[in-house]
Amino acid sequence: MSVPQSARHGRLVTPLAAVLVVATPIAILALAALSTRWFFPDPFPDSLTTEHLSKILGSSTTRASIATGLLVSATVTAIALLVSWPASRVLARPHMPGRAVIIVLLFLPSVLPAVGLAMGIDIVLLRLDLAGTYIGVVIAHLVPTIPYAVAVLTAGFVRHDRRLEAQAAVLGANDWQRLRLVTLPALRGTLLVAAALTFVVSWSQYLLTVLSGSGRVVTITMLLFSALSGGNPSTIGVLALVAASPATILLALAGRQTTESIAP
Amino acid sequence: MSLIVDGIVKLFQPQADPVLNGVSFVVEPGSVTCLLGPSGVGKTTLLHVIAGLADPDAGTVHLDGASLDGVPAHRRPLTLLMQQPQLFAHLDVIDNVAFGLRVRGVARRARRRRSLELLELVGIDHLASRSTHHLSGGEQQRVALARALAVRPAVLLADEPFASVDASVRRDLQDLVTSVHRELGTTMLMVTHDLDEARRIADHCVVLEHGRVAIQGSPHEIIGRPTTPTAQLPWSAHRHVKTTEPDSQRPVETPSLVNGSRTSGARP
Amino acid sequence: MKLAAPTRLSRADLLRLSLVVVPVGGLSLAALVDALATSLGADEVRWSTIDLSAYSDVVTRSGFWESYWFSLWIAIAGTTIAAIGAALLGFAWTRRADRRGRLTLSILQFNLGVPHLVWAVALVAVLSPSGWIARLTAWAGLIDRPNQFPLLVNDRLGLGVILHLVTKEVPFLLLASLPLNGPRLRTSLGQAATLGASPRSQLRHVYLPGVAPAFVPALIAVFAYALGAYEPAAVLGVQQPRTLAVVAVEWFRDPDLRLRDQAFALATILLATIAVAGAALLLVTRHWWTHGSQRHVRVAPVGA
Repeated sequence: MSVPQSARHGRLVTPLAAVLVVATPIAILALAALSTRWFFPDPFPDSLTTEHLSKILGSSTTRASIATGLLVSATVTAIALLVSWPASRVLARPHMPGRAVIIVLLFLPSVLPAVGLAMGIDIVLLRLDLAGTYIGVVIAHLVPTIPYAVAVLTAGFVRHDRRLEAQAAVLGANDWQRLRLVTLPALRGTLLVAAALTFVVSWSQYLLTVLSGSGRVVTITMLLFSALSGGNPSTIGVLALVAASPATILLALAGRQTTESIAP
Repeated sequence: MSLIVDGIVKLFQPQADPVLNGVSFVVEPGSVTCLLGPSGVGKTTLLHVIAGLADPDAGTVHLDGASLDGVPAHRRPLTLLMQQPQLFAHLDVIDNVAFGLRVRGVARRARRRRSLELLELVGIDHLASRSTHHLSGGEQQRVALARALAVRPAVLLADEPFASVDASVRRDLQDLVTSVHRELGTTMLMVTHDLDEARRIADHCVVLEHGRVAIQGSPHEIIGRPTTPTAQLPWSAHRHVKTTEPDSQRPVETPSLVNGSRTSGARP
Repeated sequence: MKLAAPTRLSRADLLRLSLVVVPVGGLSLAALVDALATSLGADEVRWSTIDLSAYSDVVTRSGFWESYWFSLWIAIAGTTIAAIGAALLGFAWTRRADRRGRLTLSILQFNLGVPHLVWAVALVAVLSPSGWIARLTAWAGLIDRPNQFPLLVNDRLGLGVILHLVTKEVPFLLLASLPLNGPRLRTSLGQAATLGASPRSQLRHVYLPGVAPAFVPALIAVFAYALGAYEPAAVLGVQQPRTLAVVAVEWFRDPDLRLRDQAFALATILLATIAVAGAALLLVTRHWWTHGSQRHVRVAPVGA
């Protein structure tokens, strides 16, 4: 059976269009980051150089903000996964009284106006004397991240067959051994996706970090935002790439499973 | 190692009729006992109660004179073969077999040696280092059987372990269970709804109906008598017709099951 | 362990649930109460001083209504286009049942991980009068100077912000609604087709009711984000009128504390708008909830 030539080409149109829409803007940022003089109306820069890239990546401000971001997002990821794991297990039960209430409460921050939420959290943190501290920023980031972690992990637990753990129990494995030797390995993919999403959502926050960190906890998105007013295009390009990189790396890592795992 | 099931009651809904309504029977040491009955009669539930995976609403399970009340599943010296093999996908074949030994703290070398022995016994030692993904259904159940036997269980519970494989493989596995039993003498309690399977494997049959033990005895007694209450029920009538065919082809096999050396108790 | 999952919540289960509910729901509720209280002037928990002056100050300011309608226009246009796009794409992929849809979906989910701020900056780099598309146009000889290129970002119509919302939220809507029941929906669509349903009625009577339990809450989240988000409007918007979200952040960070009360009044007005829009959306889609759709429970992730 021969497929008509046009149909075979047509098959790739949608994925290619998606790549074009998603990748072009990022690629233009990359070109801007790798060029020093790229003037209108040249569609491409004359020459590429990593001069700017290494200069900005080497600056202590950039490095400090990357370190801060890694610290904050890694802590947020660890805490979010740790608290979401047991809760998701309960939420994944076939008969769970009061599930709707829990879901509404977890869904609440996503239907509040983002600016109002960030401002309100800042006031709460000020009351607790935590505004402008790492801990304050981490607490603030838990609000948008935990729902993602719960959604992915709950989906994983719904698909997970409890009989596998029952089998391990019958073979003599106690609670801790079942968790370590059966449940965790079986849900490794789900856990990876949850970790990736949580990290990326935390790393991507701008306004929430600015307000809860009171300008004292500086992450890469904040450097990027300041560079927008009057910064040169290469600087903006480099900072934007740095801000987008963990998202890309982590999602590529978890990419295959995300499609299946994001919804219970 | 005698297993005594004493008056087990299990309700699913508080108001509804109990699924198990005072089930009592004894599994003699070294015997293969088959638990028969129509689907939905609570055979699987009963195995779960014995294994500690479900709590009975009344009644007790005794093993060698000691009550198993309140003993969690992982401390009971029983293993359970489920309908699906339930292999651990992240472990290869030999590590699956060694799982029970690993959680008991057996040293790596010793548990590998023991697992290899078991794999040899079930005839798939050549698959030891394979991943479990590409095994056939029959091979998977062999791994599960080896895994369940590796810890030397006092009683091996089996819940229609051959229901998920096709007929020819089922035959092989039934023969395997018989030969493994001859080799190790493990006490077994096996759920089936297939009279033919019971006839081929069991020393003793317990038939559940309406939440109680309707009849028990040797396979010959159960299957041979058309006047037993179960024989009038559609499920058993259907099975009965089907299972009489091999009987007529091999008339010597039925008496040998009942009168032969297998029920004489001459086991290690 | 017991094989059957417990049907009642033990005290330990409640503790497990509270570990996620307290930080998320608790903090959001606290933020909500704080915002309301502040906007009503009850700053130091002196409820006796409650007044609506912050609100009356806000709505009588010159430019408030212009900003309000501008914000609402962006949110409605962005949400509507994203909804139509996600519904049509999702329907097409579910119907065709090939790997192309999956592949495209996994490409689109990369976009989901790109921070909103970065995406807004990237759109400026592509769409601005001196951006890449303008350069291609000039290189092709269609224009000579940047100011001949149509204004697509930082424009009075908010086109840049709307485009941002559409490109960011279509993948979100697809990921939130499709994987849930793709295979089952595909079967239902095939069944409807054999019964003579046109693609149009398959979309209306099978696909949309099928995805509604996930799609509609996600759509409310998208509207809430479109109305209340800072980054897209701050980068791609105009100086005049600014969206209410941008104005609110500006006032909140102002040293003048009265402006802070008014910032919270703005946030409350945004919240009320979201509540009305959300209720309207649920009302419009109610026939998808009441019949035809399986009621499965799911945890919807935050729309951002």
